[in-house]
Amino acid sequence: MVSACAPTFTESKTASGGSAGTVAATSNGETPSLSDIRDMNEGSAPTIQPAKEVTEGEIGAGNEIRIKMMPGFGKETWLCDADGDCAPVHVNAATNANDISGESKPGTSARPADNIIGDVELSDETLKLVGKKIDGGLNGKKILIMTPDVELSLLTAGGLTEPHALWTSAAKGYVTEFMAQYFTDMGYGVAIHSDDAQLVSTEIAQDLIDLHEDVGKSIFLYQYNTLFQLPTKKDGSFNWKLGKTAQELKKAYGADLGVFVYMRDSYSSGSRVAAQFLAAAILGVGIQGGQQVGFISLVDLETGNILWYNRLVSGGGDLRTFEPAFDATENLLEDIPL
Amino acid sequence: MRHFFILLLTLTIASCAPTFQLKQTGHSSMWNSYSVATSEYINELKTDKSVMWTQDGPILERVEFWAPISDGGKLPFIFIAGNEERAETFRSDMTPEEIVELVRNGFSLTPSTPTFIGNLQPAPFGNKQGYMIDLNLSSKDGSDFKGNLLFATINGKLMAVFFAARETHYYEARRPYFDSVVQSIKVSGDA
Amino acid sequence: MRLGKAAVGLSLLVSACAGTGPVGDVKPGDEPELTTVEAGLRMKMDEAERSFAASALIIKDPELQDYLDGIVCRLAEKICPDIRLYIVKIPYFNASMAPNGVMQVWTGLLLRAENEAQLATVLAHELAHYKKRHSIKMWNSTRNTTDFLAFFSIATGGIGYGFVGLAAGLGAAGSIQAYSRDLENEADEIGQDYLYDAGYDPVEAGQLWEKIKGEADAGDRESTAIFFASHPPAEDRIENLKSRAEAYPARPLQAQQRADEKFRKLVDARWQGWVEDLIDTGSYEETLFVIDNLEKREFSPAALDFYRGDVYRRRSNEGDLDKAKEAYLTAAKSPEAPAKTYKNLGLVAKRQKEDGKAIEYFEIYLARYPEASDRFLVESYIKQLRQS
Repeated sequence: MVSACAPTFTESKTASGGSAGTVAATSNGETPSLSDIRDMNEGSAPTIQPAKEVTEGEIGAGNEIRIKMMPGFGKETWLCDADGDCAPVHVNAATNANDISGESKPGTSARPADNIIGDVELSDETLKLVGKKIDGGLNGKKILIMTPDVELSLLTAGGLTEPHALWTSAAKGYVTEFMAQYFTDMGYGVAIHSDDAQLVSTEIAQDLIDLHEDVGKSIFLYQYNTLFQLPTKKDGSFNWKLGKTAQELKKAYGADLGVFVYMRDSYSSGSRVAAQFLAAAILGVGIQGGQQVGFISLVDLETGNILWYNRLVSGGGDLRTFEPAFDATENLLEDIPL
Repeated sequence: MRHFFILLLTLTIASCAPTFQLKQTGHSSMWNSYSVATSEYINELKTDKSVMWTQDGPILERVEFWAPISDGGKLPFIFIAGNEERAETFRSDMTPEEIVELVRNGFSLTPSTPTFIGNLQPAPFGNKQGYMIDLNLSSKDGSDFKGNLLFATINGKLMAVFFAARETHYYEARRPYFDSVVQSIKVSGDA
Repeated sequence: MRLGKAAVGLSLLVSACAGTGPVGDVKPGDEPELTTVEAGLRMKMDEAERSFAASALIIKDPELQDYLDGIVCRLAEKICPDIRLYIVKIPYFNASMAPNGVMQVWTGLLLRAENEAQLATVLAHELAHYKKRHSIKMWNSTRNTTDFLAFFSIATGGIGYGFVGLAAGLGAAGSIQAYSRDLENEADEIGQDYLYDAGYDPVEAGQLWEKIKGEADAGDRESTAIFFASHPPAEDRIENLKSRAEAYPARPLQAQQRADEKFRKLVDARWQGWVEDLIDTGSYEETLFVIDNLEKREFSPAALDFYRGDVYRRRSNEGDLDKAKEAYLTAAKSPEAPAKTYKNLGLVAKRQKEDGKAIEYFEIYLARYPEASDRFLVESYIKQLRQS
C-alpha cells in the first residue's frame, strides 16, 4: 500500500490512575491493531465477480460510483444511475501515462482501478448498529461511535479551502465502518450515533461534539511538549473531561465508552500536499496549505473523563479512498487501550 | 476568545510574546493593588491589560485579573476593528449599575456576544464593597460560555476579576476555584 | 490521467468552471450533486447550523416566527419548505441567506422596517439571492482571491466562520450589500417582482432603502463603516427601485393595510428590548435617527424620550447630560413614562453634582416602584449622597 510521501506522526495520551484499565480489559494487555483485526477477519465476506466492467473516467453521464462496504473489511464497487439504481461493477483503471511497461496504451487496461473516490455506504451489518441501543456485548465492553466530525476540503490555487461534500461523506463512511468492524471483531457491543434516531436530543449530542472539539484542541495545544504547553501539564499528567452530560449518551445507547473523532484535511488537485504543521491551522477559519489535523478521544460515558486521546499531525493519510483511509484510521486508533 | 488566541499565537510566533508560567500555590500581588492566592498550581499568562490564570487553557476556562482602570479608560477587550470608538469609558463616580452598562457595551463590541448580563449583587472585594454579575457569552461556533465578573471601585480605579468557562461542565467544575480566588483577595492597605 | 465524472473529486481542478456550475434557479427540494461546490457549501452550512440553532442568540418567539415564516411563504411559495428562518438578537439592520436555505433575520431589521412591505422587501431580496444561487456564483468568481473568505463569511452571515455577534464586524454587517453590483441589482429587481406578486406595494422597496441610507448618513463616516461594510445603498439603486415601482400595474392595496396592523402589533410588543440592545452597542447617532423615525411612526413618545435620555446619558459628550435631563423630564410628564425615568434622572443629577435633586428623583422612583428589584442599590445611592 503506497501512502503519501510524508510521514504521519501520532502520539497518544492515556489518563493515568488505571481508569482505562477498569473499563476495558484485554487478556494479554496488548491491543490488536486495526491491521491485525483485518488480517484475522478479511475475506469473511463472499466476494462476487461483477459481470459488468467499466473504465475509470468513462462511467456514463448521470452515473456515479458508490462504495458499498462489506464485512471482513471488504468492499463492493457499485455503479448507480441517475434514478439511484445500483449494480456491482468492476472498475478498470484508465490509460495511465505511468504504465510500468513504459508504453502508453490507448483504451482500457485490465488493471483494476486503485483508490476510487466515491460516496461510501456502510455495510448492512454496520447499518444495523446505527441509531440503536446496544444489544449484546459484555458489561464494560459497549462502545458508542459518535458521528465523526470530519471535513475535507479542496485546496484552491489561492490557498483557500473549499469544503467538499463527497470527500467528507466518504471519509465519514470509511472511519465509521472501519471502527465499527474493529470494535465488533474485538467483541464489543457497538452503537453508532444518529441524529435522526433522536435517542438523545440534537442539542445534547451537538453540544458534546462541539465541546469535544474544544477540549481536543486544548489537549492538542496545551498538553504536548510544544511551545504552547501549559506548565501544569509538564509533569505528564493527563486529566481532561467532557463532563457528566456524557451520561445522556450512556443512557440513550447503553454504552460504557464513547469514541469522538475530529478531522480536518484539505487536498490539492487530488494528491496530498506535504504538510506543514502550524498550530494556528486548527484555530483559524481556513487551514493553511493541505494539512491534516485530527484527533480522537475515548471517553468514559459514566464520568465524562477522557481515558485516551490520540492526535494526528501529518502530511499523509488520505481519507477519501479505501486503503489510505484504512491507514489513516489505523493511525488514529493506534494504542487505543481496549 | 478565539480572536484573543489568534492574537496570542501571532505574538508568540513572533517570539516577543507572553507565554504561560507556572504559578505555585500561595499568595501573589496583583497589579500592585491587591493580593490573591491560588489553591492549586496554575498556569499564568501576563499581558499589559490582564493576568490570566487557567488550568486547562483559555479555550475552556479562565480567570482574569484586569489591570486597574482609571477615569477615561476602557475595558481590556480586543475590539473588532472600528468598534473601539463605540466603547464607553470608565468614570470613577460610576454607580455599579453604570459599570454594568459599561460591561454590556464592551462585550457587545467583541467576538464574545453577551446573551445575558445581569443579576447584580453586592459582593466583597477583599474588605471593600464590591459587586458581582452573571454573564452568558455566545459565539457562533457553538461555544457557549458562562461567567461572572467581580468588580469594585477602589481609590477611583475599577478593579475587576473575570471568570469565564464553557457552559457544559467547565463552568460548574471551575466555579469553586474562582470562589476561592475571590475569597482570598486582600486589598493593599488592609490591616 | 484522463478523469471523468467517476473520479469526480479529482477533476475539480482549480478552474472555476470544472463541473461546479449551478444550472438554473434553485428548485424546491433541490439537492446538488455531492461533487459540486454547492454541495460542499451546503454541507458546511448544515454542520454550522446545528451549532448555531442552539445558540442563545436565536430568539424563540413562536408568534413572531410564524409571522415571518408566513411572509417567506407568501413571497416564495414553492421553495419556502426549504427555507429555515432564524430570528437573531442583533440590533443592526441585516438579513442573510445561506446556500442551504438558512435565513437570518436580525432584530435590527424588525426595528427599522416601517411596514410589512418593507420587511418583505428585504426577505424577497435575500430569497432572490438564494434562488439565483448568487452565493455560489460569487464563490466561483472569488475563490481564487483573498477576498473569498471575507465574502463567504458575509454570504452566510458568518455562521461557522468567525461570526462576531452583536459587534457585527465587517463581515456580517454588510451582508445585504456583499455581492457584486450586478448581483445586488439582480436581487433588487427580482425581489421587487416577488414583492409585487405577493400583493405588496412595490414602492416600499425604494422607501426602505432611502430610509436606511438616511441612517447611514446620520452616523459619522468612521463608525458606520462597519454598519454598511463601507458601501451604503447607492443612489442609483434607490432610483432604480423607485422608477421600476411605477411600471407595475396599479391595484388596490387593502390586504396590505390589514397586514400592517398585524406587523405593528407585533413590533409594538417588542421594540423596546431591541432599542435597548442598540444603545448597548454604543451606536448613538444611529440610535437617535432610529428613535426619530419611530416617533414619526407614532410609537410611545414617553418611551422614546426616555431612550433619547439614555442615549445622551451614555454618550456623555459635552452638553449631553443636560440633553439627557431634558429628555427624561419630558418623558416624566407622561403617565406612560417607563419605570426607570426618575431613577435615570437621579443618575444624571448625581453626575452633575446636584445632590439634592438626585435624592429627590431617586425617592420619587422608589415611592412609585416599592417592589423594584434595584431598590437596595438606589437606597445605597441616596445614602451615599446624604453622607457626602
